[in-house]
Amino acid sequence: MTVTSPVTREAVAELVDVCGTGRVVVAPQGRLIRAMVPAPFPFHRWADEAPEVVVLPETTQEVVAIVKLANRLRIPIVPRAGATGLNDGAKPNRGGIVVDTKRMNKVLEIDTTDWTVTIQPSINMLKLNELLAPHGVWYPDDPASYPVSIVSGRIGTGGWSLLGSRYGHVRDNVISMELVLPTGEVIEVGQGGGRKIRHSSTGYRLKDLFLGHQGTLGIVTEATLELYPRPEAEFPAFFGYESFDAGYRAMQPFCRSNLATLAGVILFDERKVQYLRRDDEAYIPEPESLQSIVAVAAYGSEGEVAAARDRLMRIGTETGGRYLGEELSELDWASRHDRYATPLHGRSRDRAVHMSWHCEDAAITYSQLPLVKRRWHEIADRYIAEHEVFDNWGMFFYTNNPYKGWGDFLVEIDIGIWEQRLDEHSWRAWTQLKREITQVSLDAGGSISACHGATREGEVELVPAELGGQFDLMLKLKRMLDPNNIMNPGKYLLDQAYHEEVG
Amino acid sequence: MPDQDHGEPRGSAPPASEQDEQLPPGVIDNGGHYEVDPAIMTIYPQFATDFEVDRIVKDRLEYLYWVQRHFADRVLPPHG
Repeated sequence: MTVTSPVTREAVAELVDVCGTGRVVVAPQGRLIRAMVPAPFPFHRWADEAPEVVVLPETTQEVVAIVKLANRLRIPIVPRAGATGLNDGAKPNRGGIVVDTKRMNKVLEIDTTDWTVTIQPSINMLKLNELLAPHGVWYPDDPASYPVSIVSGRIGTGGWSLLGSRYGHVRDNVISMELVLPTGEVIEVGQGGGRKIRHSSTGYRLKDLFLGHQGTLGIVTEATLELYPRPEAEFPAFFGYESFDAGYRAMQPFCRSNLATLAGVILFDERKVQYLRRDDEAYIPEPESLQSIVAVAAYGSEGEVAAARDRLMRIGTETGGRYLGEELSELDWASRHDRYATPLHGRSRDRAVHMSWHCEDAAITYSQLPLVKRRWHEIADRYIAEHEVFDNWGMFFYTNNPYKGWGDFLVEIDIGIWEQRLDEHSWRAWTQLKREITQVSLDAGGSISACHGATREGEVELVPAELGGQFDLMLKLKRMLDPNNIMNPGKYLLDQAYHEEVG
Repeated sequence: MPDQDHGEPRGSAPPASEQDEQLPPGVIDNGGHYEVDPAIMTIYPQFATDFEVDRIVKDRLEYLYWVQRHFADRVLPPHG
């Protein structure tokens, strides 16, 4: 089933009845900007990707009315939060209505007894933590987009946090949610029936179904989140190593240090170090002999972090690392959000050009990291030799396991893209590059995406191969919850759910 | 009624016949939209006065120290 109904004047008039005049947008500026996400974008197809109308609801009741209208008229509907994700969940594939939820941003309750905060979910985490700070608590979701992304988008993505080894990721810290399903029904999902219960054995654990669905299963309208004590202390440290292998080996003692305050361990490879030397103003150049960097960070009470600091410094020395100093360690760690928005120095055949940024973000076990690193660089370099619009900005490897430092890692290769020069030919090359990289992840027994989702051309084709029988179950669930395929149609190959043989 | 269609997106380029005389230095028309000329990026490193460097460094450090305070009460030094 393909939803193709146009948004008629009558439909727009109904949306105005629901939201009022100022919160229904049909002007092209407001529609075109909501066709985009920060990941590389095919500008040559911009007009084809725009929604026909944008609505900005403020209440659950308004969202219900919009979803019911879309269902009745068979109009595609796409939930959009901060639209800061590096995948395609927040952009329409089939036009229709974009439901921009940014006005649903109120804090409904800060519960300092049971330590929860209940919100309308489109509040930014930085803003939320400013409001929580006077109470001595915080919500520790810390993506690279922390200053600009918002909670509901993080829920739709099933987001990954830079502090995940200490505090878990989004899936671990959303306690319950109020959702508007694709049919317009409102349900509460959580652990059992209680909005503030963290663990229950009653029934299925359905909450996870609605964390990371990329807007295909509903629109979240309220969320109750976990609170933690605000950290008294932070300790970041960067260590340099003479080779990638030395840094790779050094990761293990850090990751297995059994420190409860350890928030993350990150390995930068030699290509990433070269890129930082070349074009990152925030980076303090280090001796050429250093070919990899291991960064660690700990958060918690001052006594615990002081003890962790002593052990981490000892591990750095014992593994042959060179401590890179307070200035680099503290300030480079503090600038961890900056590279989301500003890594714009690309090189094309030794010319400096203005590039945007893309990163692959697979989840890979420790044992497979060297193999994946080698093969990803080989693929990227082959395409760079053929197409001047790409640049290789190196790789890093980041602890991925919630509340633990060992096991599997977020593996990222950052590829600069000269977006202004993209055309259909180079866009095809880009998606083929992605496909080859994705295949390597699967061959290594990994997952396509640790943090962004996998709905983009070049990776989404391989999602059924990764998920196997789970993908068939996804199709059945999609068809059951969204019988008319109105909720973000065309994503995750879920249109297959409406073929006759599925049911 | 909702926001009306006010024509082309903001920043779109004027008709081709008017472009050459209207585009200021450093601006290009890329598919109907004004953009910074990528050629400017080929000047590397770009010139900055001492005053600009001081201002950028000061603002940068102020921001980074703010980030640290936002996430924890204090940052521990490497040795107790």
